[in-house]
Amino acid sequence: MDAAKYFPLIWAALWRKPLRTIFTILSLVVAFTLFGMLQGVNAGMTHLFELAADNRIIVNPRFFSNPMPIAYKQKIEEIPGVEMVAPVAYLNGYYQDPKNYFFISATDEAYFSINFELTATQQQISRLRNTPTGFIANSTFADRLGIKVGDIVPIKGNQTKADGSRDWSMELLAIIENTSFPDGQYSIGNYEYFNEERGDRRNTSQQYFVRIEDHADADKISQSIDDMFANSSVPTRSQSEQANVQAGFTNFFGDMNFFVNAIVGSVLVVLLLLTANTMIQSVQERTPELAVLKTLGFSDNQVMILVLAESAIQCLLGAVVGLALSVAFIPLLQGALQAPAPMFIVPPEVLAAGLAVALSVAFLSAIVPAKRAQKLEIVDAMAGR
Amino acid sequence: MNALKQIGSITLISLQSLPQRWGPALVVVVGMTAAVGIIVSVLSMAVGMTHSMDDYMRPDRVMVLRSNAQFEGQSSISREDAIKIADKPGIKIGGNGKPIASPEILVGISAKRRLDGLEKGLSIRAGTPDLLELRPEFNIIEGRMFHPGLHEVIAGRALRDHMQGIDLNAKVRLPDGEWTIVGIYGSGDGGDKGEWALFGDSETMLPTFNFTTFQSMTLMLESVDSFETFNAAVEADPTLDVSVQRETKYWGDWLEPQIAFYNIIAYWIGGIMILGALFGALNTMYAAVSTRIREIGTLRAMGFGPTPVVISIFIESLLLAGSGALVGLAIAWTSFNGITLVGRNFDLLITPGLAASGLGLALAVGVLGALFPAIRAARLPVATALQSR
Repeated sequence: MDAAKYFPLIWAALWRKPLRTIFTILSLVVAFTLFGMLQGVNAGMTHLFELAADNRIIVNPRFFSNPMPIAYKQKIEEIPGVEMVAPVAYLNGYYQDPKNYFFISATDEAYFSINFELTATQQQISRLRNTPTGFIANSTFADRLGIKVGDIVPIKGNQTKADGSRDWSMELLAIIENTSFPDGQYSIGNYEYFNEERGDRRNTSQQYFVRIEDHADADKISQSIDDMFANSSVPTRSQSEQANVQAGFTNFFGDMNFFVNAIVGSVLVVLLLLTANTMIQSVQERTPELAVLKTLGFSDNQVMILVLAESAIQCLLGAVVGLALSVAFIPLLQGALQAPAPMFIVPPEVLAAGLAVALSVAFLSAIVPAKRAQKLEIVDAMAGR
Repeated sequence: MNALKQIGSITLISLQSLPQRWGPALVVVVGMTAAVGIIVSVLSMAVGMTHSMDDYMRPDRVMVLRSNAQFEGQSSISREDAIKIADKPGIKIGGNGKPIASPEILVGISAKRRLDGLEKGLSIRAGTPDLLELRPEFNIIEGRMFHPGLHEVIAGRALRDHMQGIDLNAKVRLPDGEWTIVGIYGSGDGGDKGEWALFGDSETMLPTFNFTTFQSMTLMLESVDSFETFNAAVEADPTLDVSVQRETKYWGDWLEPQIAFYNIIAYWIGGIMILGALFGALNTMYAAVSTRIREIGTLRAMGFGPTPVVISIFIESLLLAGSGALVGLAIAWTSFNGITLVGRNFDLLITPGLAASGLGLALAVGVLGALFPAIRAARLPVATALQSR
């Protein structure tokens, strides 16, 4: 059967009642716009988990406001399977105006080897080490504050210095990027300097970043770290970054995933009902015409395929336009929610799934009327029975 | 025959033929069920969250933070400053003759959810032992108030209901040992943000967490209007580097972006779904007019005016859209009202107002969906209508 030959016939049947077809296709467009956007968000979340490294353990104090002694660094390093440990203490404050939130993650060189996504060169890292008041940041951070390389940035810190003042003056040494999270904000300085200068909470770290040899040991090593400090005055809570991101996500978005699936599910049910209804009406109205086709020599199967093809064209048309709109809309939604970029993508698999769903809806909604068309007796149909 | 009677009989005829047209009718009902159900469910998050803050933030309570701190974790207030702040004018005097002022620290511990064992952070707020004077919306529903100087805390009802290990007389492990939950308190009509915490005495708890200063201060004003008096006095003191905000401002700023998040989701998804429902309704009502075209022609020939025909179409559309909306509301209400989502410290809430807006939206779609088909039916020349097959 030469498909192209029959196309005008199917096309004409589709536009027999133009209003009905237009509204049906518009409903399909709407449904697939939603499908693309929501499945895109779902896929984006999964993508975020994949970006999180699983050979990285993050150690937090079990009681959140209680920083951990710096001596933990060496103790964690001694655990078998641990490659390196970097402490992180945070200098918070503002630049010029309290609205310009400023922070530095004060750490040491190991941080760059643990966070391999950072593009800092060896030269930049040693420059930072040799400049106590220096820091390096990514462009998102620097652009937000309007600072550039070479600037000495005066900071009003939340932390007081040992001399009682709150004025920190830090030099921006270089701009680096994080290849996994380009939209995040990164600003990295020297732990040693910050620790010497600060007035209180000296020799503590708010977090430890740990790199391990084998990601399969992540749970075991996390447990060893927590066990080691369980009975100290500052117990810890360790988790691989992946587990950490996942837990954070479940905590924040939790049932969002369920909501997304519920919405997509109910939209598809409505859609199925809608297109099935359109196809049933369409075949019912055309019963005499289908009988004419059979009289002209079309086989039963050919008539059935014509009906199925009509439904498929209608659904694919709606799906293609709808999915294209979802690709166009998703950056707008991302902008409205001010969400991180990787969360809002419509990956090719979602587009492919959308087309597959469209074909399934087409088939399911047209199979009953198509079977009816196939079984049609010419005599009955002509008589309008 | 008067107009009302005409409308009545035509509507009755059209509704009686509805079972023969159940397919298209079902499309409108189910489409509206989905659209209204989903919009109302998503908005119930925003409504629930706002409601959970109703009693927690009061215009006559103020929060004092270090001047550049955006939230409590960034702030610190020394003991000397706390005394100076409490002595400023405009603060209500409590039962013991002292100002109602609470120098506070907020610390986090983690516990597992009862539902699924998922680990979740929860907060301990330590402040004044005269907690019930500072927060009159709280009341002890089981046990008693904590005593300062002892390792005692009280726990919110929501926390007890949702978290493992939070019960009357249960022990909570803190860095300096075990603390006993000696009381359970409720807040407002339940589900309040205030119930999602443990409360203790800040003087007793400072050393527990190696704190040497407080983080923030919460004070009760003499009245809503005392804010200016108090704020001016604090600003005028050169030794104090702090900022004063009403609770409604501090928590309002915190709440706003989160409410905006839910609203954006609801309006985007809801807007798209309503559009879809509208196309469905238009489709159905056009189909209804075209299947009833001879019937309408006959009625017109018998002397029925165009207006009753138009109105009967509107009534049918409104009935279909309205019943779909009611089913959607019923599903949303039974599955979500009073439910606490994972990781969220509030219950979803479907208020009569929210339900009414859902229904209103559906009826608006019903009107729009009927408008063009009705105009078409009204304009139809009787002769053409009678000839069609």
